[in-house]
Amino acid sequence: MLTEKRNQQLTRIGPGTPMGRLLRRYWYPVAVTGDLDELPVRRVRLLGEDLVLFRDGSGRLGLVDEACPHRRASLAYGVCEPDGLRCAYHGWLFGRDGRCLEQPAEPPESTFKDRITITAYPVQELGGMVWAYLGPAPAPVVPRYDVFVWDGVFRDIGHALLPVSWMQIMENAVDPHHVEWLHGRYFRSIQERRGLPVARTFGRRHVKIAFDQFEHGIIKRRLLEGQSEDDDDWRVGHPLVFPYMMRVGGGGSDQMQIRVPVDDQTTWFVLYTVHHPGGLPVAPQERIPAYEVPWRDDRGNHIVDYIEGQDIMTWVTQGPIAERNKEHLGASDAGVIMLRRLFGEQLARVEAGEDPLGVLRAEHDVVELPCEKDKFGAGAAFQTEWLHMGSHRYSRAIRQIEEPYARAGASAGAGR
Amino acid sequence: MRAAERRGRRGLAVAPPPAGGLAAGAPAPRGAPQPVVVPFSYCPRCAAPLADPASFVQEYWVAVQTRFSCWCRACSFAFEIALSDRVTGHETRSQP
Repeated sequence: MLTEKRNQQLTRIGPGTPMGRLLRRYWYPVAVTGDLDELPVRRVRLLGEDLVLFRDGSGRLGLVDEACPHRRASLAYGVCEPDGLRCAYHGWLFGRDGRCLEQPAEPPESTFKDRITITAYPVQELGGMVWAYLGPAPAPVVPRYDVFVWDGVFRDIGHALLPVSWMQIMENAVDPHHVEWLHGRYFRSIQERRGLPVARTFGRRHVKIAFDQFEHGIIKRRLLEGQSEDDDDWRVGHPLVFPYMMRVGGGGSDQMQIRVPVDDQTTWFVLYTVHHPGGLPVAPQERIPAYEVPWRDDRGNHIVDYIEGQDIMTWVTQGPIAERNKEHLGASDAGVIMLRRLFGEQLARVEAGEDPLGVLRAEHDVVELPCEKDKFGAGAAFQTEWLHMGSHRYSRAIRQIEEPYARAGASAGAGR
Repeated sequence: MRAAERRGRRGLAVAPPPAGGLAAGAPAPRGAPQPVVVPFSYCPRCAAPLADPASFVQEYWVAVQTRFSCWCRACSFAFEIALSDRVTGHETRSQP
């Protein structure tokens, strides 16, 4: 159990809260770049703040407060001009730096506009997504994690807006045992009832688990029945990338699972996948395809016949913010405890004026993250189940994704 | 009530029970959160109060044992406290 007070401290992320101050030290993806091609102005909510992302007529990105300071109308309905974003209501124009550039209905000699600004935040593009930073200056650099910058891979993005605290999803990232039960035993019960093929690679019994803190977060290790400590799952493991991502992979694909804290009770869940089966050449992508991950059916029930749908079911049914003062943790929850403690340590670092874990200041080409390649010791079998029993089945690019795996055949497990 | 009694038997400091709560013998209303009773108050290394919200105290269980995973914000000491019924001293010599 955790006291109610500590649970609140862990999960409240708005401006001025301790966790809000910690989380504002990091860059977050707020949109898929390609989505701005269809509409160059988008409403964005991040860390409890309502904002508007836009691409001005010169192709430059801006991120500003949603409410126009004039009469508080939403700038999400604004007009993109060469120099900024114009409010639809009375035409006030704002630059990417938040300065008010024009107030067309005011007298020509008026200097009123010079005294008006709106909050503006830095934004950058990386890996086909737009990233935003809401913290104090100077902003750190955007971490160029491997999957966002690798060449010669096919990228695909799935995403869903979930009515749940991001912290519950992060705790799931350091909970290895759930794989054996949620994606093993529970999944098997669903498939058997429907007479469908059963996932074989997800249900193996855990013999032991371990967690190591490293410079980018926590490395999670598992030893499954029949494995030795030389197997990838134990020897390499995969990382929780502090504070809001998890890197996984195997069988010719790698993925960053991103859990963007929208507000206390909402998370933008993003599955950023790169495919490189057998190291086969991949044609350059003009635009990364994106798809929405469905998680409720027409009757409002959770869709639980695929891997991520099962995860989402557990996160959401824990409640918008899990009542950690009612839970009962055991020895198998060592990773969850470690993560909560790590957040406590990093809160103290921020309060002491230091950079928290994983904040990068130096320019760099790529941050290569440790990640197992032979997942669950299953070789290409893992990839087959991952493609057909996971969220990829909803991807608009599923045919393009499947084709190189078929070509790679048995060599799919070799991967990068 | 039982948890508080067990901790008391072990001679550990027992946090004051909530007014009108478990110590009065009244069962908690169904579904109501059980108060987390932390039977110690200070960091064993620097004696800073662990009630500081920036410190960390997480209760969990291993078999019949209650444990607390802790981190002291004042001195950055990470430690675990396990409640136990008996403390066994070291053996001074081998059995014949």
